[in-house]
Amino acid sequence: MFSHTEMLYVKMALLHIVRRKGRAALISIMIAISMIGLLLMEGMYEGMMVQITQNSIKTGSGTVSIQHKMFRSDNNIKYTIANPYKITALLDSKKEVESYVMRINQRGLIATAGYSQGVNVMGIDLEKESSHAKLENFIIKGNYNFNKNGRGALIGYRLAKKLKVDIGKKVIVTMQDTNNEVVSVALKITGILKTNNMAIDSNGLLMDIERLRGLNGIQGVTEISILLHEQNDDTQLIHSLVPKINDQNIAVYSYKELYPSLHEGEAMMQTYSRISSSFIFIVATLGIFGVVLVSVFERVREFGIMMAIGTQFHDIARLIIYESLVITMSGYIVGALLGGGLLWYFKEFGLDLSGLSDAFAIFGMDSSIHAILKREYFTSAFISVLVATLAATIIPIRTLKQRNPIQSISEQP
Amino acid sequence: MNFLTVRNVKKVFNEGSESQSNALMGIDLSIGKEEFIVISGPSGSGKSTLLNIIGGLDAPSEGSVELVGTVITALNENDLALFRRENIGFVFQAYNLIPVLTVKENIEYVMRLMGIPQSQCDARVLEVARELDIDTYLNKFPDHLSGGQQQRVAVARAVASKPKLILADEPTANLDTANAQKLMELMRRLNIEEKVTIIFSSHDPMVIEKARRSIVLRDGKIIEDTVRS
Amino acid sequence: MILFKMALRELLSHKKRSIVTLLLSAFSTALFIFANALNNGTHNQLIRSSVEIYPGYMQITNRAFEENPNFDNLIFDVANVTKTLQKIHEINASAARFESYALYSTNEQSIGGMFTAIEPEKEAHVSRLKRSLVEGEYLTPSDTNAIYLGAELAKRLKVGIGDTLSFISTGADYSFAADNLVVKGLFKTKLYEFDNASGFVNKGYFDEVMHSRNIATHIIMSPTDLEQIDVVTQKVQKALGHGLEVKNYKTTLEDLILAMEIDTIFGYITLGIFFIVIFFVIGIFAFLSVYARIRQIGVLRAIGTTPKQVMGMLLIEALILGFLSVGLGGAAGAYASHHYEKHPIEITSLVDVDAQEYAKQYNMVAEATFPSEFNPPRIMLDMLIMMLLNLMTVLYPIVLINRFTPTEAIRYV
Repeated sequence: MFSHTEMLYVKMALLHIVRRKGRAALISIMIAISMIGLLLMEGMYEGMMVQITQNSIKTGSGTVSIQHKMFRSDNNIKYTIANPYKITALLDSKKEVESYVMRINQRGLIATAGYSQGVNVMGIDLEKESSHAKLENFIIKGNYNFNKNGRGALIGYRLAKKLKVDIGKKVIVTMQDTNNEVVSVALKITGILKTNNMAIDSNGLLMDIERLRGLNGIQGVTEISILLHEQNDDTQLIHSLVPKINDQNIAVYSYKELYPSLHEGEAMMQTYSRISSSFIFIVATLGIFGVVLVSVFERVREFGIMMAIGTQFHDIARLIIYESLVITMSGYIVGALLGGGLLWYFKEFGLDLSGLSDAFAIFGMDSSIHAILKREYFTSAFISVLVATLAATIIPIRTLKQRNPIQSISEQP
Repeated sequence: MNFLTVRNVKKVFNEGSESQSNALMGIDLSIGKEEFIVISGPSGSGKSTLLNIIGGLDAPSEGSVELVGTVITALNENDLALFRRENIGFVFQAYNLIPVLTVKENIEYVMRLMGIPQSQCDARVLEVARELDIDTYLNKFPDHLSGGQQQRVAVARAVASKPKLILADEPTANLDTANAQKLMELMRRLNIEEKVTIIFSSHDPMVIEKARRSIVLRDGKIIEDTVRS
Repeated sequence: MILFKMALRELLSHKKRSIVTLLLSAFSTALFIFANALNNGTHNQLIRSSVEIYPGYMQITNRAFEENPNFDNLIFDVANVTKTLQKIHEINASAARFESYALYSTNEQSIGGMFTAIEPEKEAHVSRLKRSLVEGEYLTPSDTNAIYLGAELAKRLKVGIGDTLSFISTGADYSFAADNLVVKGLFKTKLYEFDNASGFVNKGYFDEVMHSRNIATHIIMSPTDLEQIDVVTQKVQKALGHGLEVKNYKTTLEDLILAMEIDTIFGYITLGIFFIVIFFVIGIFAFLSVYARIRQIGVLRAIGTTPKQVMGMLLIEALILGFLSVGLGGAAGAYASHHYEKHPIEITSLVDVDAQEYAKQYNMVAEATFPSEFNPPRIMLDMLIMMLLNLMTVLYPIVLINRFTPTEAIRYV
């Protein structure tokens, strides 16, 4: 691959690095540490964002949500999807769709003996939710069922704490039916949920959808929540669904519309990490530049001698570039291995911060953060290091050329 | 008591490695006050090594050096620095002036370190500069001077703080004949007027013949030690 | 003095390198100070609004109320407690509240929500409830059958100023209580969930209907000096005896404060990565500048400069650069902190869409403005830290250079 002379240059480059190992080490360590830092930052922050988004999407409205167009602004149960099966038949034929569930969401009042407060009542089908949002994974106490008689309920852990209820305790849920009459039901708590979706954790009560229908008299559902194989297929699905549903009263939303803050959070995080990386890139280039400049200038005589015995200038330039690349790339490799290793570890095992879980929950995060590991982290870092190295050698090489190394042989050392 | 006593000094470089070399192989030497001595010999005979060890810049592998009653080979790095400051002036082959200091500041540097008041420093600098004929460019920076001028500044720096001993390693090597001649005359005059002992190394016959006593080294041993009358 | 002169001339003779180092360090200092100021300012604002909107800085409850928030565990002698509080001059104001829940009904809708009695005039001194008025009027101590309603709740109940609604609730003696109320004022805070679920009435009227004269669930207080809040909390607790429990916001809003701390930690992690790279580069420059002078330092050592003095000279160089850059960066950082304290940064996209959305989702106060905090002692501390970092960058070169003997240094090529 390399010619004989080229191998010689690589060897010279290596030898020179060994001779000046202190500064070479500083550059390598700098690149390795900043690589590790950036990789962890990108991977962990993206992991957090995905987690927050997934927590909200899975247990909330899904990647795509179908609702009555008025329901979002006015959570009144008169705004329902009257004939949901017509829509689900459509969904069954869509290969982008991973799963979907039908739900009834309603505001109500939850009360114990001495305390009561507002609550989001969600009517769900336990079996279907299990293959959809995998809600049973979020149970932290009790069981994932509504008792045999259907009079059980799952409740958010913060709400449970506030109401001071535990498994087996009774709560009274009051709401309106379709005739605007107030109806109440006594439910026994069968399970406590921690989803890190605040809407459920602080304010949510999940009960059997059929039992809820029996209470409020709703025929249809208030929402069809859809999860996709690929989150980014949302727009495509919406475009193909809307004309087929062909109903002015039905709206199809993407999670980007339903949770604009999540979407914006993602975008902000990306911009943020891009700005950070470019800033670090510029500063690191300065450091590499300093080292290359000094190591070129202190060898003007040496280069002069090489030229005097017949080396062409572009070969010397190549020598300088090889030398710089060996230093920076060794930093890159160490950084990529260590940073990648750490990220892999945090991806597989998570970063456990359970001591702080309540505080993390405020941000919609789990107590264990799982990192994201993408190939593009490494390719973009590789390109950055490469570009930084080449950019850092331009000025030293040009200045060297202007100095005319051959002349410098005769100068005083 | 001798002014300077060198006892069985040996110096081995890269000891234990393949490139081990015996630079000095047991040097014994006595030097009296106000002597004017040249150490000569071919390249690699150990001239510089011996001067460095006498000046406390380098430690011998074996043996000891005693200068004005102090066994300098027993001093630590810090005390050595203080000892050199008080007792020894150096003149190097490559002048080695401090580029960021002016000629005047270079000359008074050691005195300033010693805490000598500025007025005394000024007087002494002027005195030495006149003697060495460099008083006209006291405020210039070293890189504006010729080699000969720079070397005279280096001598001025070495002599200004009135050390007891001046060590000069090949001081004329970078100078032309006229300048070398002039520098030797100057150093001889300082030797007499300032009553300072001077040891220098050289392999230039013209320089060597100026010395009162001549020590010849070869392969790390003294092969000749003659005193001229 | 001569060492200082040498240090200064050394810096001047390498102007470009000195300027780059200076700018990098000044930039880091400004960034550090401003990031800290923004972090503190934003967090303080968030905590302040979270506290002041409704919860209040300090509260008194019956000791058993937290475990069992029912009507057996109330403050049964409000007048006596108030009298005690008036004697404690560290307490600026106090107000009694009776929190309970009610089902609000109109012809169309029935919605459960908080139904709370307040002392209108006193309440204005302990929370921002009065200031949150957006339509109609705030309550007065002589009001009967008047409700001060959350704007979002009013929207859901479809009522406006002057409209009538009825409530059903349980009185302090567990009797059934119901009456008609006229909407007197609407309020809107930055807490969506609060606006969506709360109504307030004059305590004088409430006590008649609910049989709660001289009884309260909470007494809210504001201290004269916020800095002394923990001391004051203890003092009040001592004065009131064991039956009542005194807490301040640090306990009641523990999760939020912890969340802010986590946010701070993440901020430091990002800054940390920046600083590692920046100070590596500054360190590399220091290293190169020392290495370029090894011969010279060898000569200095030979003619009697002690290793300590060499170290001193290098430290002086770092100090000069440090003072200049930290001074410059400190001034810039302080100016920015001061400016953005008076004119907080506004993220307009958050103002437009997301503040509300965010508030809904996270049940946190949503702020679209981000003020910094101008805190001179804190800025001085930040500057000191940066100064130390600057000095640390020359430690490695100093250690290396002192390993050389003078002869090795003079011969160094």
